Amino acid sequence: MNKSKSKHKHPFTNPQALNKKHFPESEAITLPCQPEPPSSPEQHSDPVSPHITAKTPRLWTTQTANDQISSRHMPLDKTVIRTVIEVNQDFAKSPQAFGEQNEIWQVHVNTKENIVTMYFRNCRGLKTSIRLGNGKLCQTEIRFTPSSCIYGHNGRVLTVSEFHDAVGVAINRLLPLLRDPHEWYHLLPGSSSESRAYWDAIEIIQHIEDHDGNILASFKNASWRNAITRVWPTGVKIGGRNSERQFCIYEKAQEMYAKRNLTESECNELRNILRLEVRLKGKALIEALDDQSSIGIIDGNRRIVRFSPELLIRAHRACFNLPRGVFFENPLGTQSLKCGMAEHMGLYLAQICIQSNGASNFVGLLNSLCHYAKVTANMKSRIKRSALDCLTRHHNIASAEFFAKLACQKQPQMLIPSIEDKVRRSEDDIFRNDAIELNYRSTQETKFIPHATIPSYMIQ
Amino acid sequence: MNKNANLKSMNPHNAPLHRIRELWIKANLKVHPIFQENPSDFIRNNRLKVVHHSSQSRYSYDQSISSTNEEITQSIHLVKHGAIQLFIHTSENGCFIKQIKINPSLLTGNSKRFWLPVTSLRHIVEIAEKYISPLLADSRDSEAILPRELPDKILQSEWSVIDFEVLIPGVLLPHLHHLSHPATVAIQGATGKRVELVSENKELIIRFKNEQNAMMPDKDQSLIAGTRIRVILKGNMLHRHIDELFGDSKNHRFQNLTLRDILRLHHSIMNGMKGIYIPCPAKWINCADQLEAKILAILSHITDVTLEQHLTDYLAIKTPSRSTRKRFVKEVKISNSQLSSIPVANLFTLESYGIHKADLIDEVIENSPLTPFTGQHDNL
Repeated sequence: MNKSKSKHKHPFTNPQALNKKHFPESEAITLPCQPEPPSSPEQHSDPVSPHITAKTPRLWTTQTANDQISSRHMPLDKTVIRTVIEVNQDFAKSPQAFGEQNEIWQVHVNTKENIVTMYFRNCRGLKTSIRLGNGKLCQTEIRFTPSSCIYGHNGRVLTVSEFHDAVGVAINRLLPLLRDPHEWYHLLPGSSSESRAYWDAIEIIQHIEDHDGNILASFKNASWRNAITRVWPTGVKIGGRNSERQFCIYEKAQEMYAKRNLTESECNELRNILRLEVRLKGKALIEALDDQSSIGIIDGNRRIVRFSPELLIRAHRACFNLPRGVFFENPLGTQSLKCGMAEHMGLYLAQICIQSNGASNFVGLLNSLCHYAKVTANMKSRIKRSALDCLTRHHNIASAEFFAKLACQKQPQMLIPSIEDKVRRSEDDIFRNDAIELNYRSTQETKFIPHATIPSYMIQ
Repeated sequence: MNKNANLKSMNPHNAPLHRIRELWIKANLKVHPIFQENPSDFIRNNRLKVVHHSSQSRYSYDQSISSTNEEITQSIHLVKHGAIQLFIHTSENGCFIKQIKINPSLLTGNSKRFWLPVTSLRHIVEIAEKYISPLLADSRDSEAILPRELPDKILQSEWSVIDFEVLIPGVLLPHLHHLSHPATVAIQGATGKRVELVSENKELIIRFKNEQNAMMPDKDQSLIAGTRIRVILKGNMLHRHIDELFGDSKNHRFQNLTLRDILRLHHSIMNGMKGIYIPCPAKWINCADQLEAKILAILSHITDVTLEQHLTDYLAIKTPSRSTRKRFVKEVKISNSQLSSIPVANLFTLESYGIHKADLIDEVIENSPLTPFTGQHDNL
């Protein structure tokens, strides 16, 4: 799209252009929507009718109440939404012909399973699989990476308003698949009481700067229950592949370089950024995001239907408090009372791991030694406890400081112009509705920070 | 010390087993037109041993030239699920078998767990050939199912993936330390049960895995424990290794690969392995005494710190009495003397692969007449 055309269509100059594609301005659109249970005083004083109209376009340079939350981060990476939708008849008849007419890049049809998988044009980070059945309703899985949707890569930590835009882009792409576009709320969990969608898996992230590699080295010695710890030179994974809670701590730039998303020079520039990621699904997801407003009952099961940035950050902190041997803990609370051979050995092994600066990881070393020396389970557990106590005492940073509010707000981001410059969105590309902002907003009042600049992905 | 003598003392069984996990052939064979029109009828009428048939269509839309590319990929499993798998691509140009995957263990044995001593690659490929031939449009094309030198370059098939595995009985994964390979990036998934080394382009994968219950194909179906070392070679990396190994005769050898060649490939890759193997001394097995001394002795072998330094540092924490200290130092020295280590590469000698065994048939496919297979597998 050329610049002059986009200027004309930009809502700032032409607000009527909003969602022209799916909601012509002549139609009076009313959409059913249930507001989230009020969780802040602000919400109590702002009653929302159960039927709301399509939202007016965002005025980037104007101060609005919604901009109050725009400074907060929505620290999400990959997510999975499950839902049941009534598909467009044209799509059900011929997915391939439908793909040709719409913004679909590739359609894969698995005839045996009757599953149609779609990838969308100009929209990385969105993949949809629909199981076509005999009935009207079709089970649908939406794999959605908000950051990739609007920036073309997942190295950014999105603000809340950017997350809303990403959701808007995804819904805009998926709307043609629906029999009735007014039922868009089946695509986004929590957007209506009638919505059948829920969050099935979520990755919560935080970036920190790790200049000397000490933080990564500390995580290499981490231990959480009996979870498998896998160690790479540039990362650590705690928890197995099928585990409902998995911790991934890795140098993001290295990972992107391996996937050829970064050049060598870009990788060297960004190599200090360490990503702390927790991957949640199933019961662990519900446990981590359990909150009055976030849980909904879908088909008789408790499911996550909405979240706020504060809830995600709280879940991230709670999860990262689980592994031991990384952060400083109160010595009085953790020190073993016994002082036998196991305790001495634990201390000594911890000392070796600290001195090796990540070259030897504690869990691997202990397993290896126990294999030779026929250490009993009780002895092994005492050695482990003693070593982890020593490791926690050694670190001079507490998890409370590590995951402090300031650290969260000032976290480094990966700005990759070579990728981001290729993504440009017009207001037509983004589906807007108050229900999106209402259900995925900050629960705390924050200091007003005006959204003075237009995001790089918007056509200016 | 003599390398083989050392190995024998460390590995009481000293009988490595090998098996081909998977063989992938890149082909370009036209499929029978009736199959193209109606696969299920063709399968039924020709009584083909098809156990699974599925298809996936892929449509990609090129807006710049307003065209749609349609590609249908069919997957067919013959004989058993996973024994022979064919990938058939249908496009505007027609219907072609593009990839053939063969699992010899499933094709000739009953279970994936069997360590069947494959002595002849030709034996396996002939069985595969027998089942694939009826699907082809032209019966003369059956010559091109397996990689061999043919005058027609369009039809010529070639090996695309070789997935080969060796089991070393008695050698346990926790006894292998600091594993690395010059062709791979770093250790992946070092869990204690499994270690994976992967090259940057993922064309070489070396996977070490603990095997507790490897089933022998003997009458008793006895179980043995050890470490499985699986090497997966693909694409350019496969070509490069064959080039390095066979030099001038590369093309000829690549087309006419034998089991002996595959064993040599595995050997040449494992020969470059870095790391050390420290077996558990016989005296330590079932003996839970002198834990600290044993741990310090092991630590001196697997870390960069010397034994003396370990002793000094540990005693600084423990602060024992003079007599205890003296006794402890003595115990550590004894434990250390009981340990021995060898480079991991030394575990993989040509002899240990059984390359010179008499029962290993060094067959050449090009010379084999394409006779119908009438062996014991006819009833499969």
